[in-house]
Amino acid sequence: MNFEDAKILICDDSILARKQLSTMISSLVECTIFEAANGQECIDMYQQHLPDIVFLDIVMPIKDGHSAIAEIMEKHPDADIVIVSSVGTQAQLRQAIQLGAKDFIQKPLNTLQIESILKTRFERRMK
Amino acid sequence: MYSQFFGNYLLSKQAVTKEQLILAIEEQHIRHLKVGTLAIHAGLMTTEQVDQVLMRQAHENKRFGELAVDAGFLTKEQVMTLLHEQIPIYLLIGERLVANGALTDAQLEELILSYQKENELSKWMDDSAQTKNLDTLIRNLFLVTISDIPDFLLQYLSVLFHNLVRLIGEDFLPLNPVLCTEYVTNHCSAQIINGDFSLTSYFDFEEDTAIAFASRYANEEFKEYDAYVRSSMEDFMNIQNGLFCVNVSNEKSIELSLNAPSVFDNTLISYTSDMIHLPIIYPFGTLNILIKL
Repeated sequence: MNFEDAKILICDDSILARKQLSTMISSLVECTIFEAANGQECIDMYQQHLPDIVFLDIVMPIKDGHSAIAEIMEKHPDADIVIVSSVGTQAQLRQAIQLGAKDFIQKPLNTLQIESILKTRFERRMK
Repeated sequence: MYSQFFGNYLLSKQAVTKEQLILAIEEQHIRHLKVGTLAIHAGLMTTEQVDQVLMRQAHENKRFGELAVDAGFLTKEQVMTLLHEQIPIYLLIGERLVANGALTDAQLEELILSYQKENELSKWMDDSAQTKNLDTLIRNLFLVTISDIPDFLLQYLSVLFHNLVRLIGEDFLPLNPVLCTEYVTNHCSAQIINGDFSLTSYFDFEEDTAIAFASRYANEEFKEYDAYVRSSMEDFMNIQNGLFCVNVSNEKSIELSLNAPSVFDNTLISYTSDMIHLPIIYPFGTLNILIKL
């Protein structure tokens, strides 16, 4: 897979989760990866870099994932946000989708899930 | 899978001391188990048949498996399965307790049988049969501390034991939980679950144990207690509590929410009412779990 000029933003308060996800993505595609450690940083980095995909955690200090989706979608309704969370309840999922998230991945992560997410975007981009 | 509880059973029967058990857990990587022992515990051979093969082995220069096949007690496929099957932790620990002189072979055999009977475990090699009995095992583990364990605590512990097996390793033994109102932490992660009921959990480690735990969780060799180790402690707790919330939501239609986890060092946790302290022993150290309902 080759994304080349694609930009991916990873937002998670866990430094380990960011590193693991970044390693998985780098092993699958060539792209530029940005990292944010909370919802507010995610909003700021989104404005600055306008990434193609955002992988976003929900439970975070300062500003949580739901607030971040709402604020990003308000200004960028086409934003492609994938929720990555350990709390995959139906209510959480419904709320995330209502706010505009496109996908939901339950932690712990595995490469196949990430590959599937990226493949969908990559194939869509090829058309 | 849930033979982890056998160690606690040995303690409750005062068959071994805590020190003998911990030594056996630390030494469980030393594996000298014989095919005959494995065959008995898989229900494929009786003790009489094993004795018969051992007597023949004294006169013939052949392996146990070959002689058992010759005698029609085992098939070649069964011998291969026994040799490659993952050995249950209770046998590994039991073997070390016998090797260290804490138990005799006969005592171990008798304790295994009574443990199976009391916990309604019949097929030691069958994971699904044991999984069904996990609730019984947890209730028995908590019997002395809490006679009537609440359903959601049972569910929390069930998810916890699954996650420990899945994400850290199955070579652990839970000790009997105790009640306390105060606890001084070493390196501790904590998280609050809120909703129709509230539960705060703390996972506490000594430094070396935290590093070893994190290395297993992240599948990476950490050398010092750094941001990645702390992050691993938080992540494991987040996944444990997140999956518990998912299960409660799916099975009981109760929505719970999680606060962001935190990590702190050398802190006094103090409550006016009891919290549960559940020590989980791994070969690399003890994970101290505290739960405040």
